Amino acid sequence: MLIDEREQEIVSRAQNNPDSFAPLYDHYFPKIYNYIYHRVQNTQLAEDLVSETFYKALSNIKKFQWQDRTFACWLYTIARNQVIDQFRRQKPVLLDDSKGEMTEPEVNSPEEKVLMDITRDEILEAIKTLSSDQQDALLLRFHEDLKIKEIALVLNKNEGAVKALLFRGLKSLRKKLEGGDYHEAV
Amino acid sequence: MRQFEWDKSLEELCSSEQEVQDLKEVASMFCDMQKTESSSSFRDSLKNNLLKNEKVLKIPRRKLFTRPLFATAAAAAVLVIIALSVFSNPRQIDPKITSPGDYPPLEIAQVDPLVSELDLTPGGEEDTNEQPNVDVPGNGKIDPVPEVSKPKDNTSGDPGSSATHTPIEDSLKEEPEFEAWRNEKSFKLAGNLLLSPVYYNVTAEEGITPSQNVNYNWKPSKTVVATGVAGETVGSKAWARELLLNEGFMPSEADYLRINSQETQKGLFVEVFYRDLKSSGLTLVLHFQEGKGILAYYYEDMGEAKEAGFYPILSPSKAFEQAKNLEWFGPTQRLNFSFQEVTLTYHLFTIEENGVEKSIKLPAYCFLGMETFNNGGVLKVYLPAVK
Repeated sequence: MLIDEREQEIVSRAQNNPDSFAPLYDHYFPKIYNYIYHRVQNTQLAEDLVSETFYKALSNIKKFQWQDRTFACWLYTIARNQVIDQFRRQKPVLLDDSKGEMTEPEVNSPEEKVLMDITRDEILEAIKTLSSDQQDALLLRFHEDLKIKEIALVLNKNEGAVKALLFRGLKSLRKKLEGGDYHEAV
Repeated sequence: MRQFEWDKSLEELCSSEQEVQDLKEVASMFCDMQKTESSSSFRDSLKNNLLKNEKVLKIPRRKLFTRPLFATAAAAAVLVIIALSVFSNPRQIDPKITSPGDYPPLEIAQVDPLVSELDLTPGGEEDTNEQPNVDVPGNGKIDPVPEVSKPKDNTSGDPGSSATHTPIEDSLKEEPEFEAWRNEKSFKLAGNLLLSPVYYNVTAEEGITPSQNVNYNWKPSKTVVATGVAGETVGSKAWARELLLNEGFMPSEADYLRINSQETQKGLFVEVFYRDLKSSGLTLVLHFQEGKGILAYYYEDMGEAKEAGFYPILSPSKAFEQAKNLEWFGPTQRLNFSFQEVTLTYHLFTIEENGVEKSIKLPAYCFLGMETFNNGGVLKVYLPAVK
Protein backbone atom coordinates (compact mmCIF):
# COMPACT_ATOMS: atom_id res chain seq x y z
CA MET A 1 0.00 0.00 0.00
CA LEU A 2 2.88 2.28 0.83
CA ILE A 3 4.38 1.55 -2.56
CA ASP A 4 1.16 2.55 -4.22
CA GLU A 5 1.16 5.79 -2.31
CA ARG A 6 4.66 6.54 -3.47
CA GLU A 7 3.83 5.77 -7.02
CA GLN A 8 0.74 7.87 -6.69
CA GLU A 9 2.88 10.76 -5.62
CA ILE A 10 5.21 10.32 -8.59
CA VAL A 11 2.28 10.12 -10.97
CA SER A 12 0.77 13.18 -9.40
CA ARG A 13 4.02 15.04 -9.90
CA ALA A 14 4.17 13.94 -13.54
CA GLN A 15 0.62 15.14 -14.03
CA ASN A 16 1.66 18.58 -12.91
CA ASN A 17 5.09 18.65 -14.46
CA PRO A 18 6.09 16.52 -17.46
CA ASP A 19 9.71 16.52 -16.25
CA SER A 20 8.63 14.23 -13.49
CA PHE A 21 7.58 11.58 -15.98
CA ALA A 22 11.20 10.44 -16.19
CA PRO A 23 11.12 8.18 -13.13
CA LEU A 24 7.98 6.49 -14.35
CA TYR A 25 9.63 5.97 -17.71
CA ASP A 26 12.75 4.54 -16.12
CA HIS A 27 10.75 2.13 -14.03
CA TYR A 28 8.29 0.95 -16.65
CA PHE A 29 10.29 1.09 -19.86
CA PRO A 30 11.84 -2.41 -19.49
CA LYS A 31 8.49 -3.94 -18.56
CA ILE A 32 6.56 -2.35 -21.37
CA TYR A 33 9.29 -3.13 -23.88
CA ASN A 34 9.42 -6.76 -22.79
CA TYR A 35 5.63 -7.12 -22.99
CA ILE A 36 5.34 -5.49 -26.40
CA TYR A 37 8.33 -7.30 -27.80
CA HIS A 38 6.88 -10.68 -26.89
CA ARG A 39 3.55 -9.75 -28.43
CA VAL A 40 4.93 -8.62 -31.78
CA GLN A 41 8.27 -10.48 -31.77
CA ASN A 42 9.89 -7.85 -33.93
CA THR A 43 12.45 -5.39 -32.59
CA GLN A 44 11.71 -2.44 -34.87
CA LEU A 45 7.99 -2.76 -34.45
CA ALA A 46 8.37 -3.17 -30.70
CA GLU A 47 10.38 0.05 -30.58
CA ASP A 48 7.71 1.88 -32.57
CA LEU A 49 4.94 0.65 -30.31
CA VAL A 50 6.89 1.36 -27.13
CA SER A 51 7.47 4.90 -28.38
CA GLU A 52 3.79 5.28 -29.14
CA THR A 53 2.84 3.89 -25.75
CA PHE A 54 4.99 6.28 -23.78
CA TYR A 55 4.07 9.22 -25.96
CA LYS A 56 0.38 8.54 -25.33
CA ALA A 57 0.97 7.97 -21.66
CA LEU A 58 2.83 11.24 -21.33
CA SER A 59 0.33 13.23 -23.36
CA ASN A 60 -2.63 11.81 -21.48
CA ILE A 61 -1.24 11.42 -18.02
CA LYS A 62 -3.37 14.32 -16.82
CA LYS A 63 -6.45 12.27 -17.67
CA PHE A 64 -5.29 9.36 -15.56
CA GLN A 65 -7.37 9.04 -12.43
CA TRP A 66 -6.18 7.00 -9.53
CA GLN A 67 -9.33 5.13 -8.77
CA ASP A 68 -9.57 1.44 -9.27
CA ARG A 69 -6.45 0.77 -11.23
CA THR A 70 -2.77 1.28 -10.80
CA PHE A 71 -0.62 3.31 -13.11
CA ALA A 72 0.92 0.03 -14.29
CA CYS A 73 -2.50 -1.27 -15.37
CA TRP A 74 -3.17 1.96 -17.21
CA LEU A 75 0.19 1.82 -18.97
CA TYR A 76 -0.17 -1.86 -19.94
CA THR A 77 -3.64 -1.08 -21.30
CA ILE A 78 -2.21 1.62 -23.54
CA ALA A 79 0.54 -0.77 -24.63
CA ARG A 80 -1.96 -3.50 -25.38
CA ASN A 81 -4.10 -1.11 -27.39
CA GLN A 82 -1.06 -0.20 -29.46
CA VAL A 83 -0.44 -3.87 -30.17
CA ILE A 84 -4.07 -4.48 -31.12
CA ASP A 85 -4.13 -1.40 -33.33
CA GLN A 86 -0.96 -2.59 -34.99
CA PHE A 87 -2.48 -5.98 -35.79
CA ARG A 88 -5.49 -4.17 -37.20
CA ARG A 89 -3.44 -1.88 -39.34
CA GLN A 90 -1.28 -4.39 -41.02
CA LYS A 91 -0.73 -7.92 -42.15
CA PRO A 92 1.09 -10.35 -39.85
CA VAL A 93 4.42 -8.96 -38.77
CA LEU A 94 7.65 -10.45 -39.96
CA LEU A 95 9.30 -12.03 -37.01
CA ASP A 96 12.83 -11.17 -36.21
CA ASP A 97 15.73 -13.42 -35.74
CA SER A 98 17.56 -11.06 -33.45
CA LYS A 99 15.19 -11.66 -30.51
CA GLY A 100 16.25 -8.34 -29.01
CA GLU A 101 18.83 -8.21 -26.28
CA MET A 102 17.97 -10.92 -23.83
CA THR A 103 18.87 -10.79 -20.22
CA GLU A 104 20.89 -13.76 -19.16
CA PRO A 105 18.95 -16.23 -17.07
CA GLU A 106 20.60 -17.92 -14.16
CA VAL A 107 21.71 -21.26 -15.46
CA ASN A 108 23.96 -23.75 -13.82
CA SER A 109 25.34 -25.78 -16.67
CA PRO A 110 25.87 -25.59 -20.43
CA GLU A 111 23.20 -28.28 -20.88
CA GLU A 112 20.76 -26.20 -18.94
CA LYS A 113 21.59 -23.17 -21.07
CA VAL A 114 20.95 -25.14 -24.27
CA LEU A 115 17.66 -26.34 -22.86
CA MET A 116 16.75 -22.80 -21.87
CA ASP A 117 17.41 -21.54 -25.42
CA ILE A 118 15.47 -24.34 -27.03
CA THR A 119 12.63 -23.84 -24.65
CA ARG A 120 12.45 -20.10 -25.21
CA ASP A 121 12.32 -20.49 -28.98
CA GLU A 122 9.71 -23.16 -28.69
CA ILE A 123 7.64 -21.15 -26.30
CA LEU A 124 7.83 -18.12 -28.57
CA GLU A 125 6.66 -20.25 -31.48
CA ALA A 126 3.91 -21.79 -29.42
CA ILE A 127 2.76 -18.42 -28.09
CA LYS A 128 2.05 -17.27 -31.63
CA THR A 129 -0.53 -19.96 -32.02
CA LEU A 130 -2.57 -18.77 -29.03
CA SER A 131 -5.39 -16.26 -29.27
CA SER A 132 -4.54 -12.64 -28.74
CA ASP A 133 -6.21 -12.56 -25.33
CA GLN A 134 -4.49 -15.75 -24.20
CA GLN A 135 -1.12 -14.32 -25.19
CA ASP A 136 -1.85 -11.16 -23.25
CA ALA A 137 -3.01 -13.05 -20.19
CA LEU A 138 -0.01 -15.39 -20.10
CA LEU A 139 2.55 -12.67 -20.75
CA LEU A 140 1.09 -10.30 -18.21
CA ARG A 141 0.73 -13.01 -15.57
CA PHE A 142 3.85 -15.10 -15.92
CA HIS A 143 6.27 -12.70 -17.55
CA GLU A 144 5.19 -9.33 -16.24
CA ASP A 145 4.03 -10.66 -12.85
CA LEU A 146 0.71 -8.85 -12.86
CA LYS A 147 -1.95 -10.27 -10.61
CA ILE A 148 -5.10 -11.71 -12.07
CA LYS A 149 -7.20 -8.77 -10.93
CA GLU A 150 -4.75 -6.39 -12.60
CA ILE A 151 -4.83 -8.40 -15.81
CA ALA A 152 -8.61 -8.29 -15.66
CA LEU A 153 -8.43 -4.51 -15.66
CA VAL A 154 -5.97 -4.40 -18.54
CA LEU A 155 -7.99 -6.84 -20.65
CA ASN A 156 -11.32 -5.37 -19.55
CA LYS A 157 -12.57 -8.79 -18.50
CA ASN A 158 -13.63 -10.24 -15.20
CA GLU A 159 -11.26 -12.31 -13.13
CA GLY A 160 -13.01 -15.54 -14.02
CA ALA A 161 -12.50 -14.86 -17.69
CA VAL A 162 -8.82 -14.15 -17.11
CA LYS A 163 -8.45 -17.42 -15.20
CA ALA A 164 -10.10 -19.21 -18.07
CA LEU A 165 -7.74 -17.52 -20.52
CA LEU A 166 -4.75 -18.54 -18.42
CA PHE A 167 -5.98 -22.10 -18.03
CA ARG A 168 -6.72 -22.55 -21.72
CA GLY A 169 -3.54 -20.72 -22.72
CA LEU A 170 -1.35 -22.94 -20.55
CA LYS A 171 -3.16 -26.02 -21.75
CA SER A 172 -2.72 -25.08 -25.39
CA LEU A 173 0.90 -24.20 -24.79
CA ARG A 174 1.48 -27.55 -23.14
CA LYS A 175 -0.10 -29.31 -26.08
CA LYS A 176 2.02 -27.41 -28.59
CA LEU A 177 5.20 -28.03 -26.66
CA GLU A 178 4.46 -31.72 -26.31
CA GLY A 179 4.76 -32.04 -30.04
CA GLY A 180 8.11 -30.23 -30.18
CA ASP A 181 11.64 -30.82 -29.10
CA TYR A 182 11.07 -29.76 -25.55
CA HIS A 183 10.19 -33.17 -24.24
CA GLU A 184 13.00 -34.83 -26.11
CA ALA A 185 15.35 -32.34 -24.54
CA VAL A 186 13.92 -32.94 -21.11
CA MET B 1 15.31 -19.54 -11.92
CA ARG B 2 12.83 -16.82 -11.16
CA GLN B 3 10.47 -16.98 -8.21
CA PHE B 4 7.34 -18.60 -9.55
CA GLU B 5 3.97 -17.72 -8.08
CA TRP B 6 1.33 -20.24 -9.06
CA ASP B 7 -2.35 -19.28 -8.96
CA LYS B 8 -4.07 -21.92 -6.88
CA SER B 9 -7.42 -20.86 -8.27
CA LEU B 10 -6.44 -22.24 -11.68
CA GLU B 11 -6.40 -25.72 -10.19
CA GLU B 12 -10.18 -25.64 -9.97
CA LEU B 13 -10.27 -25.87 -13.73
CA CYS B 14 -7.98 -28.87 -13.88
CA SER B 15 -9.43 -32.33 -14.07
CA SER B 16 -6.59 -34.15 -12.36
CA GLU B 17 -3.51 -33.64 -10.26
CA GLN B 18 -1.46 -34.59 -13.30
CA GLU B 19 -3.01 -31.75 -15.26
CA VAL B 20 -2.20 -29.35 -12.44
CA GLN B 21 1.43 -30.46 -12.56
CA ASP B 22 1.51 -30.17 -16.35
CA LEU B 23 0.20 -26.62 -16.28
CA LYS B 24 2.51 -25.64 -13.46
CA GLU B 25 5.42 -26.93 -15.49
CA VAL B 26 4.43 -24.83 -18.50
CA ALA B 27 3.80 -21.77 -16.35
CA SER B 28 7.19 -22.23 -14.74
CA MET B 29 8.85 -22.43 -18.15
CA PHE B 30 7.00 -19.31 -19.16
CA CYS B 31 8.26 -17.54 -16.05
CA ASP B 32 11.81 -18.62 -16.75
CA MET B 33 11.66 -17.43 -20.33
CA GLN B 34 14.29 -14.79 -20.78
CA LYS B 35 13.20 -11.19 -20.69
CA THR B 36 14.01 -9.07 -23.69
CA GLU B 37 15.68 -5.74 -23.27
CA SER B 38 15.90 -2.98 -25.80
CA SER B 39 19.13 -1.36 -26.77
CA SER B 40 20.20 1.31 -24.34
CA SER B 41 20.57 3.81 -27.20
CA PHE B 42 16.91 3.40 -28.09
CA ARG B 43 15.83 3.62 -24.48
CA ASP B 44 17.85 6.77 -23.86
CA SER B 45 17.01 8.53 -27.10
CA LEU B 46 13.31 7.81 -26.65
CA LYS B 47 13.41 9.17 -23.14
CA ASN B 48 15.26 12.25 -24.20
CA ASN B 49 13.06 12.94 -27.18
CA LEU B 50 9.93 12.15 -25.27
CA LEU B 51 10.60 14.59 -22.49
CA LYS B 52 12.18 17.17 -24.70
CA ASN B 53 9.27 17.07 -27.09
CA GLU B 54 6.83 17.34 -24.27
CA LYS B 55 8.56 20.37 -22.92
CA VAL B 56 9.52 22.18 -26.07
CA LEU B 57 8.67 20.71 -29.40
CA LYS B 58 5.28 19.10 -28.94
CA ILE B 59 5.90 16.88 -31.95
CA PRO B 60 3.49 14.00 -31.61
CA ARG B 61 4.75 11.29 -33.92
CA ARG B 62 6.42 8.10 -32.97
CA LYS B 63 8.84 7.86 -35.86
CA LEU B 64 10.65 10.82 -34.47
CA PHE B 65 11.26 8.97 -31.28
CA THR B 66 11.94 5.58 -32.60
CA ARG B 67 14.94 5.40 -34.83
CA PRO B 68 18.26 6.86 -33.82
CA LEU B 69 18.53 8.05 -37.43
CA PHE B 70 15.27 9.95 -37.17
CA ALA B 71 16.17 11.16 -33.73
CA THR B 72 19.47 12.48 -34.99
CA ALA B 73 17.84 14.11 -37.99
CA ALA B 74 15.22 15.64 -35.74
CA ALA B 75 17.87 16.87 -33.39
CA ALA B 76 19.75 18.38 -36.33
CA ALA B 77 16.58 20.07 -37.53
CA VAL B 78 16.01 21.44 -34.06
CA LEU B 79 19.58 22.71 -34.03
CA VAL B 80 19.05 24.58 -37.29
CA ILE B 81 15.82 26.10 -36.03
CA ILE B 82 17.43 27.07 -32.77
CA ALA B 83 20.45 28.52 -34.51
CA LEU B 84 18.16 30.66 -36.65
CA SER B 85 16.24 31.64 -33.56
CA VAL B 86 19.44 32.59 -31.76
CA PHE B 87 20.44 34.94 -34.50
CA SER B 88 17.01 36.42 -34.96
CA ASN B 89 15.92 36.68 -31.32
CA PRO B 90 18.25 35.36 -28.68
CA ARG B 91 15.80 35.93 -25.86
CA GLN B 92 13.57 33.11 -27.05
CA ILE B 93 16.12 30.35 -26.61
CA ASP B 94 15.32 27.51 -24.29
CA PRO B 95 18.63 26.78 -22.63
CA LYS B 96 17.70 23.12 -22.21
CA ILE B 97 17.97 22.46 -25.92
CA THR B 98 20.99 24.46 -26.85
CA SER B 99 23.08 21.30 -27.08
CA PRO B 100 20.92 18.71 -28.72
CA GLY B 101 23.79 16.71 -30.14
CA ASP B 102 24.10 14.67 -27.00
CA TYR B 103 21.41 13.43 -24.64
CA PRO B 104 22.35 14.28 -21.10
CA PRO B 105 20.48 12.27 -18.51
CA LEU B 106 17.61 14.07 -16.94
CA GLU B 107 18.43 15.13 -13.45
CA ILE B 108 15.08 14.12 -12.11
CA ALA B 109 15.65 10.51 -13.09
CA GLN B 110 18.86 10.42 -11.16
CA VAL B 111 18.11 12.26 -7.98
CA ASP B 112 14.43 11.94 -7.31
CA PRO B 113 14.29 10.39 -3.85
CA LEU B 114 11.01 8.75 -4.67
CA VAL B 115 12.61 6.86 -7.49
CA SER B 116 15.32 5.37 -5.41
CA GLU B 117 12.73 4.13 -2.99
CA LEU B 118 10.34 2.91 -5.62
CA ASP B 119 10.19 -0.82 -5.68
CA LEU B 120 7.19 -2.21 -7.41
CA THR B 121 8.40 -5.70 -7.94
CA PRO B 122 5.44 -7.92 -7.21
CA GLY B 123 7.53 -10.45 -5.37
CA GLY B 124 8.22 -7.98 -2.63
CA GLU B 125 4.78 -6.51 -2.62
CA GLU B 126 2.51 -7.09 0.32
CA ASP B 127 -0.59 -5.74 -1.28
CA THR B 128 -3.72 -6.17 0.70
CA ASN B 129 -5.58 -3.46 -1.12
CA GLU B 130 -9.00 -4.40 -2.33
CA GLN B 131 -8.99 -3.57 -6.00
CA PRO B 132 -12.41 -3.17 -7.52
CA ASN B 133 -13.27 -5.71 -10.10
CA VAL B 134 -14.42 -4.81 -13.57
CA ASP B 135 -16.84 -7.42 -14.74
CA VAL B 136 -17.68 -5.91 -18.08
CA PRO B 137 -16.76 -8.41 -20.73
CA GLY B 138 -14.46 -7.11 -23.45
CA ASN B 139 -16.27 -5.95 -26.53
CA GLY B 140 -13.14 -5.43 -28.52
CA LYS B 141 -13.60 -1.67 -28.62
CA ILE B 142 -10.23 -0.16 -28.37
CA ASP B 143 -9.89 3.01 -26.45
CA PRO B 144 -6.49 4.48 -27.24
CA VAL B 145 -6.32 6.05 -23.83
CA PRO B 146 -8.06 3.98 -21.23
CA GLU B 147 -10.22 5.87 -18.83
CA VAL B 148 -10.55 4.69 -15.33
CA SER B 149 -13.86 3.06 -14.68
CA LYS B 150 -15.82 3.61 -11.51
CA PRO B 151 -14.86 1.36 -8.67
CA LYS B 152 -17.25 -1.22 -7.40
CA ASP B 153 -17.41 -3.13 -4.21
CA ASN B 154 -15.49 -6.29 -4.38
CA THR B 155 -14.51 -8.41 -1.50
CA SER B 156 -12.61 -11.01 -3.44
CA GLY B 157 -9.05 -11.23 -2.30
CA ASP B 158 -5.79 -11.65 -4.04
CA PRO B 159 -6.28 -14.21 -6.77
CA GLY B 160 -2.87 -15.60 -6.01
CA SER B 161 -4.07 -16.53 -2.58
CA SER B 162 -6.08 -19.70 -2.20
CA ALA B 163 -7.76 -18.47 0.95
CA THR B 164 -10.05 -15.85 -0.46
CA HIS B 165 -10.31 -16.39 -4.18
CA THR B 166 -13.66 -16.61 -5.87
CA PRO B 167 -14.32 -20.08 -7.27
CA ILE B 168 -14.15 -19.91 -10.99
CA GLU B 169 -17.36 -21.85 -11.34
CA ASP B 170 -19.14 -18.91 -9.78
CA SER B 171 -18.04 -16.54 -12.45
CA LEU B 172 -17.90 -18.75 -15.52
CA LYS B 173 -20.79 -20.59 -17.06
CA GLU B 174 -20.23 -24.12 -18.17
CA GLU B 175 -22.01 -23.62 -21.48
CA PRO B 176 -22.74 -20.53 -23.54
CA GLU B 177 -26.19 -19.01 -23.28
CA PHE B 178 -27.02 -17.71 -26.71
CA GLU B 179 -29.85 -15.25 -27.11
CA ALA B 180 -31.17 -17.09 -30.15
CA TRP B 181 -31.69 -20.24 -28.08
CA ARG B 182 -34.18 -18.46 -25.84
CA ASN B 183 -36.63 -18.08 -28.70
CA GLU B 184 -35.50 -20.74 -31.12
CA LYS B 185 -38.13 -21.95 -33.58
CA SER B 186 -38.11 -24.52 -36.31
CA PHE B 187 -40.22 -25.27 -39.29
CA LYS B 188 -40.54 -27.94 -41.95
CA LEU B 189 -41.53 -27.41 -45.52
CA ALA B 190 -44.75 -29.20 -46.42
CA GLY B 191 -43.83 -30.12 -49.96
CA ASN B 192 -40.99 -30.00 -52.44
CA LEU B 193 -39.22 -26.80 -53.32
CA LEU B 194 -39.13 -26.08 -57.03
CA LEU B 195 -36.26 -23.80 -57.92
CA SER B 196 -36.94 -21.34 -60.72
CA PRO B 197 -34.65 -21.42 -63.74
CA VAL B 198 -31.96 -18.78 -64.00
CA TYR B 199 -32.16 -16.45 -67.00
CA TYR B 200 -29.01 -14.55 -67.83
CA ASN B 201 -29.41 -11.86 -70.52
CA VAL B 202 -32.38 -13.74 -71.99
CA THR B 203 -36.04 -14.04 -71.08
CA ALA B 204 -38.29 -17.04 -70.71
CA GLU B 205 -40.41 -15.74 -73.60
CA GLU B 206 -37.56 -16.21 -76.03
CA GLY B 207 -38.13 -19.96 -75.80
CA ILE B 208 -34.48 -20.90 -75.94
CA THR B 209 -33.02 -24.14 -74.71
CA PRO B 210 -30.98 -24.33 -71.51
CA SER B 211 -27.25 -23.66 -71.80
CA GLN B 212 -25.39 -26.94 -71.65
CA ASN B 213 -21.97 -25.87 -70.53
CA VAL B 214 -22.45 -23.83 -67.39
CA ASN B 215 -19.84 -23.46 -64.70
CA TYR B 216 -20.31 -21.58 -61.47
CA ASN B 217 -18.48 -21.22 -58.22
CA TRP B 218 -18.89 -19.54 -54.85
CA LYS B 219 -15.79 -17.65 -53.80
CA PRO B 220 -16.57 -15.14 -51.06
CA SER B 221 -14.16 -12.23 -50.80
CA LYS B 222 -12.18 -13.72 -47.97
CA THR B 223 -9.73 -11.48 -46.22
CA VAL B 224 -8.30 -13.37 -43.27
CA VAL B 225 -9.06 -16.53 -41.40
CA ALA B 226 -11.12 -15.37 -38.45
CA THR B 227 -10.04 -17.91 -35.89
CA GLY B 228 -8.82 -15.44 -33.37
CA VAL B 229 -5.30 -16.78 -33.63
CA ALA B 230 -3.98 -13.47 -34.92
CA GLY B 231 -5.30 -10.25 -36.23
CA GLU B 232 -8.52 -8.90 -34.83
CA THR B 233 -9.55 -9.58 -31.29
CA VAL B 234 -12.28 -12.18 -31.20
CA GLY B 235 -15.50 -10.50 -30.24
CA SER B 236 -14.59 -7.07 -31.57
CA LYS B 237 -16.62 -5.38 -34.28
CA ALA B 238 -13.63 -5.45 -36.61
CA TRP B 239 -13.35 -9.18 -36.04
CA ALA B 240 -17.08 -9.68 -36.67
CA ARG B 241 -16.82 -7.80 -39.95
CA GLU B 242 -13.96 -10.05 -41.01
CA LEU B 243 -15.99 -13.08 -40.07
CA LEU B 244 -18.92 -11.84 -42.16
CA LEU B 245 -16.65 -10.94 -45.06
CA ASN B 246 -15.30 -14.45 -45.04
CA GLU B 247 -18.84 -15.73 -45.33
CA GLY B 248 -19.51 -13.51 -48.35
CA PHE B 249 -21.40 -10.68 -46.68
CA MET B 250 -20.32 -7.12 -47.24
CA PRO B 251 -20.75 -5.40 -43.88
CA SER B 252 -20.43 -1.64 -43.75
CA GLU B 253 -20.25 0.83 -40.89
CA ALA B 254 -23.93 1.67 -41.32
CA ASP B 255 -25.08 -1.92 -40.96
CA TYR B 256 -26.58 -3.27 -37.78
CA LEU B 257 -23.98 -5.29 -35.90
CA ARG B 258 -24.33 -6.51 -32.35
CA ILE B 259 -21.92 -8.84 -30.62
CA ASN B 260 -22.37 -10.87 -27.51
CA SER B 261 -19.17 -12.50 -26.22
CA GLN B 262 -19.18 -15.08 -23.47
CA GLU B 263 -16.27 -16.67 -21.68
CA THR B 264 -17.28 -20.12 -20.50
CA GLN B 265 -15.51 -23.08 -19.07
CA LYS B 266 -15.45 -24.46 -22.61
CA GLY B 267 -13.85 -21.36 -24.09
CA LEU B 268 -14.88 -18.14 -25.68
CA PHE B 269 -18.20 -18.07 -27.53
CA VAL B 270 -19.55 -15.19 -29.56
CA GLU B 271 -23.02 -14.51 -30.89
CA VAL B 272 -23.10 -12.06 -33.79
CA PHE B 273 -26.25 -10.30 -34.97
CA TYR B 274 -25.91 -8.72 -38.39
CA ARG B 275 -28.39 -6.98 -40.66
CA ASP B 276 -27.54 -5.32 -43.95
CA LEU B 277 -29.37 -2.00 -43.76
CA LYS B 278 -28.88 -1.05 -47.39
CA SER B 279 -30.86 -3.94 -48.76
CA SER B 280 -33.29 -4.18 -45.82
CA GLY B 281 -32.06 -7.69 -45.24
CA LEU B 282 -32.95 -10.05 -42.49
CA THR B 283 -31.00 -10.33 -39.28
CA LEU B 284 -28.41 -13.05 -39.55
CA VAL B 285 -27.22 -14.63 -36.32
CA LEU B 286 -23.93 -16.48 -36.12
CA HIS B 287 -22.74 -18.61 -33.24
CA PHE B 288 -18.98 -18.79 -33.02
CA GLN B 289 -16.55 -20.62 -30.78
CA GLU B 290 -12.95 -19.51 -30.56
CA GLY B 291 -10.70 -22.11 -32.09
CA LYS B 292 -13.58 -23.92 -33.78
CA GLY B 293 -15.19 -21.30 -35.97
CA ILE B 294 -18.86 -20.83 -36.79
CA LEU B 295 -21.07 -23.34 -35.03
CA ALA B 296 -24.50 -22.38 -36.35
CA TYR B 297 -26.45 -19.96 -38.52
CA TYR B 298 -29.85 -18.48 -37.68
CA TYR B 299 -32.10 -15.76 -39.01
CA GLU B 300 -34.52 -13.72 -36.98
CA ASP B 301 -38.08 -13.62 -38.19
CA MET B 302 -40.06 -10.70 -36.80
CA GLY B 303 -43.34 -12.39 -37.65
CA GLU B 304 -43.25 -11.37 -41.28
CA ALA B 305 -43.09 -14.84 -42.79
CA LYS B 306 -43.42 -17.02 -39.72
CA GLU B 307 -43.90 -16.86 -36.01
CA ALA B 308 -41.42 -14.44 -34.51
CA GLY B 309 -38.22 -16.09 -33.34
CA PHE B 310 -34.87 -17.42 -34.42
CA TYR B 311 -34.80 -20.12 -37.10
CA PRO B 312 -31.76 -22.23 -37.96
CA ILE B 313 -30.62 -21.80 -41.53
CA LEU B 314 -27.91 -23.11 -43.83
CA SER B 315 -24.56 -21.43 -44.26
CA PRO B 316 -24.17 -19.54 -47.56
CA SER B 317 -21.75 -22.14 -48.91
CA LYS B 318 -24.13 -24.97 -48.00
CA ALA B 319 -27.05 -23.15 -49.55
CA PHE B 320 -25.03 -22.55 -52.69
CA GLU B 321 -24.75 -26.30 -53.20
CA GLN B 322 -28.39 -26.18 -54.33
CA ALA B 323 -27.20 -24.38 -57.46
CA LYS B 324 -26.66 -27.81 -58.98
CA ASN B 325 -30.45 -28.16 -59.15
CA LEU B 326 -30.85 -25.00 -61.21
CA GLU B 327 -31.53 -24.79 -64.91
CA TRP B 328 -29.50 -22.08 -66.60
CA PHE B 329 -30.50 -20.13 -69.69
CA GLY B 330 -28.20 -17.69 -71.45
CA PRO B 331 -27.32 -16.23 -74.83
CA THR B 332 -24.56 -18.79 -75.33
CA GLN B 333 -24.20 -22.47 -74.57
CA ARG B 334 -21.09 -21.83 -72.52
CA LEU B 335 -21.45 -19.70 -69.40
CA ASN B 336 -19.12 -19.19 -66.50
CA PHE B 337 -20.25 -17.49 -63.29
CA SER B 338 -18.30 -16.48 -60.27
CA PHE B 339 -20.28 -15.51 -57.16
CA GLN B 340 -18.56 -13.48 -54.46
CA GLU B 341 -21.19 -11.65 -52.45
CA VAL B 342 -24.29 -12.70 -50.61
CA THR B 343 -27.17 -11.08 -48.72
CA LEU B 344 -29.83 -12.66 -46.57
CA THR B 345 -33.34 -11.68 -47.56
CA TYR B 346 -36.86 -13.02 -48.16
CA HIS B 347 -37.73 -14.51 -51.54
CA LEU B 348 -40.81 -16.12 -53.01
CA PHE B 349 -40.23 -19.74 -53.89
CA THR B 350 -42.57 -22.27 -55.43
CA ILE B 351 -43.48 -25.31 -53.42
CA GLU B 352 -45.31 -28.38 -54.69
CA GLU B 353 -47.61 -30.28 -52.40
CA ASN B 354 -49.83 -33.10 -53.66
CA GLY B 355 -49.48 -31.90 -57.23
CA VAL B 356 -50.44 -28.35 -56.30
CA GLU B 357 -47.93 -25.54 -56.67
CA LYS B 358 -48.03 -22.51 -54.47
CA SER B 359 -45.76 -19.59 -53.60
CA ILE B 360 -44.14 -19.34 -50.21
CA LYS B 361 -42.00 -16.64 -48.70
CA LEU B 362 -38.78 -18.05 -47.33
CA PRO B 363 -35.46 -16.73 -46.08
CA ALA B 364 -33.03 -16.89 -48.94
CA TYR B 365 -29.49 -16.09 -49.81
CA CYS B 366 -29.17 -13.76 -52.76
CA PHE B 367 -25.84 -14.56 -54.42
CA LEU B 368 -24.35 -11.81 -56.53
CA GLY B 369 -22.15 -13.08 -59.34
CA MET B 370 -20.50 -12.12 -62.53
CA GLU B 371 -20.32 -13.89 -65.85
CA THR B 372 -16.61 -14.25 -66.48
CA PHE B 373 -16.46 -16.01 -69.83
CA ASN B 374 -18.35 -13.66 -72.14
CA ASN B 375 -19.22 -10.10 -71.26
CA GLY B 376 -18.85 -9.85 -67.50
CA GLY B 377 -22.51 -9.18 -66.79
CA VAL B 378 -23.93 -9.31 -63.28
CA LEU B 379 -26.34 -11.98 -62.11
CA LYS B 380 -28.35 -12.53 -58.94
CA VAL B 381 -29.37 -16.00 -57.89
CA TYR B 382 -31.73 -16.66 -54.98
CA LEU B 383 -31.36 -19.94 -53.15
CA PRO B 384 -33.33 -21.04 -50.08
CA ALA B 385 -31.53 -20.65 -46.76
CA VAL B 386 -33.91 -23.03 -44.95
CA LYS B 387 -32.60 -26.23 -43.52
